[in-house]
Amino acid sequence: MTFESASERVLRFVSFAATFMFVVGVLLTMADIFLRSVSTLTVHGMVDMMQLCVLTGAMLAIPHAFLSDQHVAIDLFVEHAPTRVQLALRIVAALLAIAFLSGVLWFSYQQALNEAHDTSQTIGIPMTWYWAPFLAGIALSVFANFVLMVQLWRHGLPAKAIE
Amino acid sequence: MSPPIIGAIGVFALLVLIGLRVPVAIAMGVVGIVGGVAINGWTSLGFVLGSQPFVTVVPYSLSVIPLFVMMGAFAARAGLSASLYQALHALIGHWRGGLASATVGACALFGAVCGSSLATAATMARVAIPEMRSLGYDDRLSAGVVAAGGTLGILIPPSIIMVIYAIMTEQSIGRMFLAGMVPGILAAVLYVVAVTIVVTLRPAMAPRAPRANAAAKCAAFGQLAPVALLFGAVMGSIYLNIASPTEAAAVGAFGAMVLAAARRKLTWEVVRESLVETAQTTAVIFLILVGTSVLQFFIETSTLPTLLLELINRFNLPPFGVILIILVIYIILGCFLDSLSMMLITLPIFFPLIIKLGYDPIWFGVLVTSVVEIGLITPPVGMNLFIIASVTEKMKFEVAAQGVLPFLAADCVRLLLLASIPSLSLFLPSLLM
Repeated sequence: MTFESASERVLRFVSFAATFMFVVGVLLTMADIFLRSVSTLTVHGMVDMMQLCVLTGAMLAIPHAFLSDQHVAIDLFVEHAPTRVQLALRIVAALLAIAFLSGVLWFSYQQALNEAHDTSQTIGIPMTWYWAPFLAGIALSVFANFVLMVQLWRHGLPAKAIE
Repeated sequence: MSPPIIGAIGVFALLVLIGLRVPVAIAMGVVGIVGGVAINGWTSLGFVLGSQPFVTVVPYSLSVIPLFVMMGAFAARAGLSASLYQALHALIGHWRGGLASATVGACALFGAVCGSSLATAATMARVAIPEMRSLGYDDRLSAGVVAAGGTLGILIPPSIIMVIYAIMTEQSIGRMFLAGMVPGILAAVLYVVAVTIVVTLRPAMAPRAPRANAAAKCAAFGQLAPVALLFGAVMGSIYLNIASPTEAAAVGAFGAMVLAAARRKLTWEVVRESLVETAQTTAVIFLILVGTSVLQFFIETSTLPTLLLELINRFNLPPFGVILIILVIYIILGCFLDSLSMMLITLPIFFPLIIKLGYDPIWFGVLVTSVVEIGLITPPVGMNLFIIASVTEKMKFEVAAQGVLPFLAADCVRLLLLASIPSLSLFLPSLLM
């Protein structure tokens, strides 16, 4: 197994595992609505938990979307360019993504340290629990773009793009 | 160099980067950083990159996005589209062009539980085009009506684009949904009118189907019930104040899962595919939101919208003229950009302008949703056309592009109506909320 395929598998697994956070969010909300309608009980801290579920699910799905070419990009103006030009542009795009996301990662990490002792509004979940999936998603996205660059460098454009 | 000039250069650079196939979210972020540093210096970097992206993706209101996406993903795999189509086929299929009109109706109803135009077009293409072909319908009409009908998924609530507009501009999601109802119905009616005109001028394009018997018509109503139930549960819970939009979306996602299970479609493969689709779509939206947060700060500090307002005043442009110019810009951008990116790139520039001109933000939201939806069927980047060409056997992109022209004309008529008669959008929200 190559470095690229192993990385792709890991990121795909992370992305898929994170999707269950959405299911947890749906089930918690349904439980809350059910409890409210048959009793005076509610799921305490629903808003805080839902935020955490969605943030985790979404952020951890971002890295694999780079490798599966899901993020919105416009092919129209470059699709007829020579393969070498297309390859170079994709590598430049990955470099720009690494630069941008590294900036977000570094400064967000500093901000997370500043908010290390803060808690969420309703049930006092530590803010680090929110920052952790955010930072993990961004860090893995930097890694995904690095893998993408290696992939492009070693294997050229994906078959789909050459068609 | 003055900040507005830097802002204008930034917008140009953004379009160049997008044209060079840099992912839209990354292009927005990079331009936002470089432009922000050029205007505010390096010290602004910590604030822009350290807090803006996190603050943008953490709000509770965003929870509604993956839940509506999940509802659409399960609804698309629950076989609802086929039932809707068969039901409307039984009811109006015997009209001349009746199958095409039934496709519009099925798209509208499916859009009411799906919320995604691409999913609506893909599922309806698989269901409706083979049926229309078997009856001898012209491929141009079949492909055109599915491509156009697919766009109803964006306009008819619940709509993901409307949710994102409401969140970005701090408007009520409930009011946005209500405001989209009449324009959505109007769009469907105008598409049926377009079908009628086409088949009247060229009857050979759409032979009549045999009339269904009374039993089939009764059964058709039964097939409409699950969709009506799901739509009623989602929208009803919002407007009866039983649930917030997020809770309603969760009810929708859960309801779509239950419907899929009841129809024996809820296999492990369907669950996996639906969850993966939910994750991928949400990831794409969240990354664009991260990019938008950085770009928005740059556009705001560049005071570009203020400069545009000054230009409008200097040239004495009437407010409605400004709206028309904005719509034309959207139609042109729609030929090259996808709906979400187009909306998020332009909102930081256009939205402050619209507010300063005194227009209603909800009305503008409906207008934006309507016009970005047209981008889905305008070549060369009309995504619905690509989808239909790829999921339908022996269907060429050019055929679908030709077939969609009458529906584009209907879209232009609707856009003009919505722009000139704001009450078409605002009547329901002011009545019910």
